[in-house]
Amino acid sequence: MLDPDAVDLGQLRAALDDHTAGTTWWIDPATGEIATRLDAAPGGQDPRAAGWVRIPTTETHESYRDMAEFVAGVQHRRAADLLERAISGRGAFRRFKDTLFEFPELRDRWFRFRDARGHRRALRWLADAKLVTAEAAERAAAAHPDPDQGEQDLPEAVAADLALLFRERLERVLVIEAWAGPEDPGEADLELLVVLADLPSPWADLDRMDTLLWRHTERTGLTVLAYPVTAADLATPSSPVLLRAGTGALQVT
Amino acid sequence: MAESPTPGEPTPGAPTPGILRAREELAAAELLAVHGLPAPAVAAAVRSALAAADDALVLLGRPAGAAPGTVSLFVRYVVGQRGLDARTGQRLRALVNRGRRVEHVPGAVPASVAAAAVSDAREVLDAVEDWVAASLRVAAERARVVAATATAGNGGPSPSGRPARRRR
Repeated sequence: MLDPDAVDLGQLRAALDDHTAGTTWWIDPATGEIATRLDAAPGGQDPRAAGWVRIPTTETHESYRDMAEFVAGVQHRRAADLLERAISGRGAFRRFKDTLFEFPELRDRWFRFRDARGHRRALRWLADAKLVTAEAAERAAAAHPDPDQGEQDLPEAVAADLALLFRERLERVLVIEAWAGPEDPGEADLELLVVLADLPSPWADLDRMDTLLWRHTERTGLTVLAYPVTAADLATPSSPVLLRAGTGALQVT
Repeated sequence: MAESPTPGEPTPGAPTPGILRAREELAAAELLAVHGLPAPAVAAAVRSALAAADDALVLLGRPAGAAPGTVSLFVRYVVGQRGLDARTGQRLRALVNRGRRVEHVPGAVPASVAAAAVSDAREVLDAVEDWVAASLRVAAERARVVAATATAGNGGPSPSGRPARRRR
């Protein structure tokens, strides 16, 4: 049995993902060495005869599942909507890639997500092919968890929607309380101060935000609360929360 | 002869202690609103709706803590998994948002805001009370069927006492 560390997982991933016609990939069960072979190449020994094991290509549905599960974890509502649309129907992979270009932060996260999935898939294949033990594969796979999609972009996603809702009236969005602290907010409510240029009726503006805030709450299972205020409210804080916001709030827009 | 309920367990058909407390808070909210005290009326309305939501979570064996709080858990488990109308979750979130705004940003609270809060709290309470009652009826019926099956010597699953999970 091989030690998973003896196998170049990056190369194995590339082999599993290579759908090039006429090309096959092989692994030496004794050393973990990976090599490619052109089927049409004249002469040469059949790798099988030398004891090498053929590396199969990943099924398209597995790659699609990675993509769909990544999209399901995206919190940015506009991005999630566009990506969901992109992966429906024929040409899903190309549209998904094109759509990601509009969201550089998500693109970076997708690459990390895809890498983690690819590494785990490669280890699973090594175990299925009996080239490494199931225990060793499992141990090694634990080092490649899905990157934490978490809710880290939730404030930004809500702020982006608030910007669309209030347009030029929106001056900034501040994260306050648990989410503004140095510690991980965990599953605490997300509380935002929505600083507007004018505020004829905070209650009417609260009602305007209701559907937007509900969507994010329903989607994430985290309560999203927002309080419309003006810069004047912050300049002369009249409550502990506003006072704390003066020094400890995080600006997201 | 009907079996008497276990002490501390909710009885199908009777309002649970949580719902009774929610009704009291709602009555207080109505009185405060009528007597020109909109800010305390909003606070009482929020307490009423949260008491009802907490009651539903207790029934599911998922009492809320500081984090995640009542609204988050209610949205996840009662609305998301057990099929209560999403509008109830939306009303609860909006109500809590109004209440926190009253706390965090002092200022005049219009009577109309208090009236809306009372109305939303009533909607939440009524919806949760119906859901709790229906859940208890289902759980009691399931327990009865299981008991009858066991008596017949066929065995069977033990009653969970929880409402059926919605399949999506």
